[in-house]
Amino acid sequence: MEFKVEVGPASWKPDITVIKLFGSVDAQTAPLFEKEAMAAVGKGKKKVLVDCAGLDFISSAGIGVFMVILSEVEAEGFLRVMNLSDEVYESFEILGINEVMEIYKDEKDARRAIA
Amino acid sequence: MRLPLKAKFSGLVLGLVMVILVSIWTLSVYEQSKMERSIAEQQRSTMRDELTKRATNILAFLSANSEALAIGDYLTVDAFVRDLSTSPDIRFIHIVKDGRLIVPLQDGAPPRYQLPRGVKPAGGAMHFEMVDGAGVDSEPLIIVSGPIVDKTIRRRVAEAYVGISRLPVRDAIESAQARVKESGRIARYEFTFATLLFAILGVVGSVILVAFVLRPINILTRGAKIIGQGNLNHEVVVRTNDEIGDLAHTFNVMTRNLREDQVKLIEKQKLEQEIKIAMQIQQTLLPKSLPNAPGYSFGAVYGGAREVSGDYYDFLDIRSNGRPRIGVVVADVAGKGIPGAFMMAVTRSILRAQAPVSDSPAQVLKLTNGILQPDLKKGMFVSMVYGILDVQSGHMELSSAGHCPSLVYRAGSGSVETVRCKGIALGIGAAQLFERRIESKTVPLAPGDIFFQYTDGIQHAMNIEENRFGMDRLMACLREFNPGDAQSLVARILERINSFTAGFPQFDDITMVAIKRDRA
Repeated sequence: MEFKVEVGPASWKPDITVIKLFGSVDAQTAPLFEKEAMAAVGKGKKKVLVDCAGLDFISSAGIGVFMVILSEVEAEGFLRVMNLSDEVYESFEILGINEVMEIYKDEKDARRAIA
Repeated sequence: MRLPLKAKFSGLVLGLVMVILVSIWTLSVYEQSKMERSIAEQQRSTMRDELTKRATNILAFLSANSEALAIGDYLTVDAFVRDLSTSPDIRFIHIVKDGRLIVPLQDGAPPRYQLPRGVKPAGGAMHFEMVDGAGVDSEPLIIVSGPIVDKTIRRRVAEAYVGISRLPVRDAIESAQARVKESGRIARYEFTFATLLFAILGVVGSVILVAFVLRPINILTRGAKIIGQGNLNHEVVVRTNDEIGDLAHTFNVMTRNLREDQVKLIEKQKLEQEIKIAMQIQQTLLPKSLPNAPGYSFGAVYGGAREVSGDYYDFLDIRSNGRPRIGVVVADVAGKGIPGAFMMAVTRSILRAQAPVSDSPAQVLKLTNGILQPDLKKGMFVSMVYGILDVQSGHMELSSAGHCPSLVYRAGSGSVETVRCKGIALGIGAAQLFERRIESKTVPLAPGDIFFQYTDGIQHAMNIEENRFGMDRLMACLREFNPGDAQSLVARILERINSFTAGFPQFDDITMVAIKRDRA
């Protein structure tokens, strides 16, 4: 699947920015993910929820982007993720990312927790 | 020989003008001589008509008064003739009867008439004869001869010879010809002057035209020189809406493409240079040889996806209380190129410095993270497995900083175990969190057992159908390739991965380390 990033406000809470990822985030596609995400964060959108429903695969370079976003938003907002596939979750878990970032099973879970 | 365009154009215009001039001169001279001839002819015939008329009149007058001749009254005739001779061009009127000149009257008897040279005796009709040199001072004459007939008696009573000068005719013709010649000459000079004026105008015009045409070409030439000297930012400004304008546009497009290509080339060269430097750094940091410990074989494979890897592995010789130990490190640095290579060098140095401090891998990783984490650039982290093999006991103590699990092939059962140690990658969390999460596990290696550690590039290796190599294939390899030493094992696994990916470009690095305890 072709890699794609979509950035927009959450329908249920407009001050939250939802970043939707599609395809694979690897060394090749990570720079685009970083560019799109940092553009949103740079505009003051510090409450970020990454929707990984369309994400097939993530490499360490992709996880590096999460760390960059986290360091940018953690003082004023947050970075959280949802809809992780088992494989992607495992990548997060192995590195211990789940220790520094809130991970939600799905959107319902995320809405309940954030609201 | 180099001839500027201005000279060529001027020469061409001048040449054309000269050709026109010569043709018109030739034509005008030819036409003029034709005209002169026709004017002379016309004048001559007009004059002849005039003379004929006068001669006829004279003869008619004499005939009308022929009775005086018939009766021999020559005195009267002589008076008539003298009267007629007053005309300035009439040179003589001779009336001859029976071969004697009777008028003008002579003293004595009429003398015999001597015919003027070249004139025949008058016949029955009027006759004209051109005679040159017959008059005074060799004046050219026309001599008209004819009979004088008495109408009453219808008899020929005498012959008349009338000499008329041709000089006035000749003069009139010559002056007419001279006038034609003169006006032709004036016309030619005027024409020549006008043509030369046009030639000068043509040359000046062509010089101006060429300069006008050359201006954009000169701009182009100057532009080409500037670009040729290496300034690819130069733009040629030619705003003419013609072929030269098109050429300038093409020229600018070419320069722009050249500039873009050059930028790309420089970027590519920069990247290649960066990759080269990073590779050099990595090559100096990787172990030059495998450890040598009796009862064990060691194997390692290291391959970057795209020349520069974020992976590294290391073997450390640790002796503690006289017991030989071998430290093994497999790590994956999130970051490629020079930053990745630099990060790898820093991590390796810190770990090597901390390794002698403690026998516990978890402790060494804690110390390493403590030093590394505060200075790491955001988004950079290192996942790492650090194991310490007690050579004598065959016990391997493992800790993982967010790295993928270790695999152990058990020779006794022919199965593969997965060993997962909790922990987070170096650089991700503060010291407290890192230390809280990290754990150690001890794996005993029996004879024939294999400890295998890899980076996630192996699992993620992808073929053209976008299938990944995955854990199952890796574990199958371990079961299949376990005979032989550790190095041949990793070599065969790499071979298997390469035949799986079949040249499909990989974006993740592949690193693996194997330690096999010899069979007893």
